[in-house]
Amino acid sequence: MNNNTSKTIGIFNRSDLILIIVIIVSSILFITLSPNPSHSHQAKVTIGKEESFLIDLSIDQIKHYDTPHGEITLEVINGQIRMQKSSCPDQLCVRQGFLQEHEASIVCIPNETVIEWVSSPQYDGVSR
Amino acid sequence: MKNSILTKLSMLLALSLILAYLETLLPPFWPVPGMKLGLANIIVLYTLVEMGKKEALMITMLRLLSISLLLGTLLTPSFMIGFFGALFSWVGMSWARNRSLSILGISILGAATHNTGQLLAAYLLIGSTSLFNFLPFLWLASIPFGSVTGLIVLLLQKRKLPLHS
Repeated sequence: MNNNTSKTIGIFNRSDLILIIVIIVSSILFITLSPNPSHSHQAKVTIGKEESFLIDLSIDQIKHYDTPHGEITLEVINGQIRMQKSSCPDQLCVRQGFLQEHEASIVCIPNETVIEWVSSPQYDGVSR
Repeated sequence: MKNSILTKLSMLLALSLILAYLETLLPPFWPVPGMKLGLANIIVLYTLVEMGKKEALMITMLRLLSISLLLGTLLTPSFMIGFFGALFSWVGMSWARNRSLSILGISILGAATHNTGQLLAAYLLIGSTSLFNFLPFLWLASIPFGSVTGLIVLLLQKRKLPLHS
């Protein structure tokens, strides 16, 4: 280990504090510079890398899909969308509940599924 | 490899497996999906500062392989994400080891690089850029979580464990 630990401030030394400040500043920059998710009447659902489609949020519906590693059930109710059921072990996507306005997406890693707001009109038609 | 080192590494691997398993029993932290304490990193960090980079990499890789066999997640998406995270974390902490950062600093950097690696892997798997919206929150979380694990390693070092020889 380095001998520079003599210059400590609390439990951190000077380099630690610089690292912490760099992390905080870059996080804040990242948050302020990233575009806000827009809220339309549609959500984009991506399953695996290839399959992606739009879901109309103005119609209440329940939909089942097969994924590369299992299956999922989406529920649309009152213009909101959530992962109602998922075959994944951790159930993080189900616990997240309805996709909130400030949230970018609901992600289910085991099922390789992403539910996100459809991006704002100026980006419409851009495909990956 | 000397027998004493082999024994020590085996014990450390067993400890990291127990901690990694314990972590799966904890309820997931809200609000960022996948946010967790990173208890197993205590052992990796301890190995890194007490023994070396090569030994820490061995512990990391063997832990990933063993825990995925135990949980039945070998080569699933979660495994790939954990693998990338662990690899990035090892690179970050190995780089930081010979710098002026304290153990807490190394731990924070390890946590932040772990998150970055995980998200990159998730992006490669899913291909949705919306994943990166989680990144700043995970970075911020790496400060308290990394400090806690770093602090535990500091306490371990002061205890003069029988592992010291």
